Amino acid sequence: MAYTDKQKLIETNVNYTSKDFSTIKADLIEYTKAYFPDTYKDFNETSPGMMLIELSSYVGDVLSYYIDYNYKENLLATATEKRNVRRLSEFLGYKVPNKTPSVVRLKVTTTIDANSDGTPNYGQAPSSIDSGLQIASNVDSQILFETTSEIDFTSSGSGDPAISAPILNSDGEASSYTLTRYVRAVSGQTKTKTFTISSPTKFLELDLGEDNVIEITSCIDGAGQEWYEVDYLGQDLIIEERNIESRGTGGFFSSTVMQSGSLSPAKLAIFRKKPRRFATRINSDMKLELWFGSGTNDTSDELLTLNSTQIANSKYNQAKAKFI
Amino acid sequence: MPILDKRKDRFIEDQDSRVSVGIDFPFNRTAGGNGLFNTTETTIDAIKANIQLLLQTNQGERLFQPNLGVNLRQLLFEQMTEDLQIQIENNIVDVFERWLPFVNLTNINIERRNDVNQTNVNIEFNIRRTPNSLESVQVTFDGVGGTTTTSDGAY
Repeated sequence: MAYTDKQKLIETNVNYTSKDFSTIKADLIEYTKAYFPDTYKDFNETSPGMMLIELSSYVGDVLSYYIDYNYKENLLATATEKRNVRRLSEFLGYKVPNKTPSVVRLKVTTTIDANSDGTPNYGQAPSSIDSGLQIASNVDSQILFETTSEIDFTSSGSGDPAISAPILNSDGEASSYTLTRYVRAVSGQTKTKTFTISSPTKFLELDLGEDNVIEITSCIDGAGQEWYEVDYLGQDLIIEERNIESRGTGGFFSSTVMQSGSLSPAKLAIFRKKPRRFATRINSDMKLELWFGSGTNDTSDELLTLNSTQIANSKYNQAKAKFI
Repeated sequence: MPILDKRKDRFIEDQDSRVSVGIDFPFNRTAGGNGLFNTTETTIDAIKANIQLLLQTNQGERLFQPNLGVNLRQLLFEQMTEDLQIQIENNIVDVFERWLPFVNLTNINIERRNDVNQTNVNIEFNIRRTPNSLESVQVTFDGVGGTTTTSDGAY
């Protein structure tokens, strides 16, 4: 059928800008006047008919609010609910940290006796204290802090203070010394949770049931295999931190380099392909859950040694390879 | 000497039985008629329904209309004194002036029946446009709920 100008002039009765109680009520009154002029005439607020009209207006007001609210929560700029902001951020690739604990720089001291010649007797220093040492807050004993690295009194790092001045006895001789170490401690406790998985499941989700998890420190299956946390399940490479010295002569650098002393002890980041991995996310109950992948037959823990040709992008790859 | 207009249907819409004014109260289904609810066909019947609804509504009960209504249900639990009775009458007058300004109250009678835990509120009124008529509405509050009876009379 041919298009006519009359079709263009057809207007709807629905006014989409009427969203609140008063405007919807006014529209309903106008609608009633227009379409039911002989059926209803009493628009006084005390009339039973107006009670129904106002009831409908109230329902419309509430529904309009939720429509607006839903749309508002769809946009990162206007969303206010924590879970929605989190989801929208994750959609954009931003990994939202779950909880940020209190962190303290903990001062740990120990006292060692002096030798007969007045020098400190380092043999009395306690052996290293592993990370995970729990210390209760002096404000609230229910709040615990855990150290994140070991405390070693036997070796002194560059950031550690020197040994204290000797503490003298009544004869004026050195009797003891105080050793001080600083260690980082976070407010929290290390907890272990065990799940029984009867059969392999793709994209397995394990709900920890906790909403205040700071991080997953370790995930080990029944066979003793370690699973690694990645930002996204598609990420199959993880960066391992290795001590150069520990690798010895068979490691990344030739024995000549290591023995020549040209390389000082340091950490080295290496890439390793990890088939056993998981990601974490916050579910709708704001609880942390572990999310595993779809399963793969490739279970090799391949060490990737990158060279410059792999690092270079495709455009300059050829030229760089020739240059080398 | 003026001649009193004693017709029941004094408004234009009241003269046509096919035209309804409002919805009757309490709500009743139309018996095989047109529409869902019974309707009031005269202005005075519509106003009586409005008065019944107004008297049986507590303030704060209507959404978005917190001032609509009279808190008459509290009467059931109050010691009825002369002061309280005057206060209630004043409240009713104030509420009518705000929500039904076209209604002229001529008499308010509050009757307390302690033997059956019941309070009757009888209101006599006329419409300002037709000052020669006299109508009345009685609302009964008891422990179960409000029931209403209406009657009308004319000079």
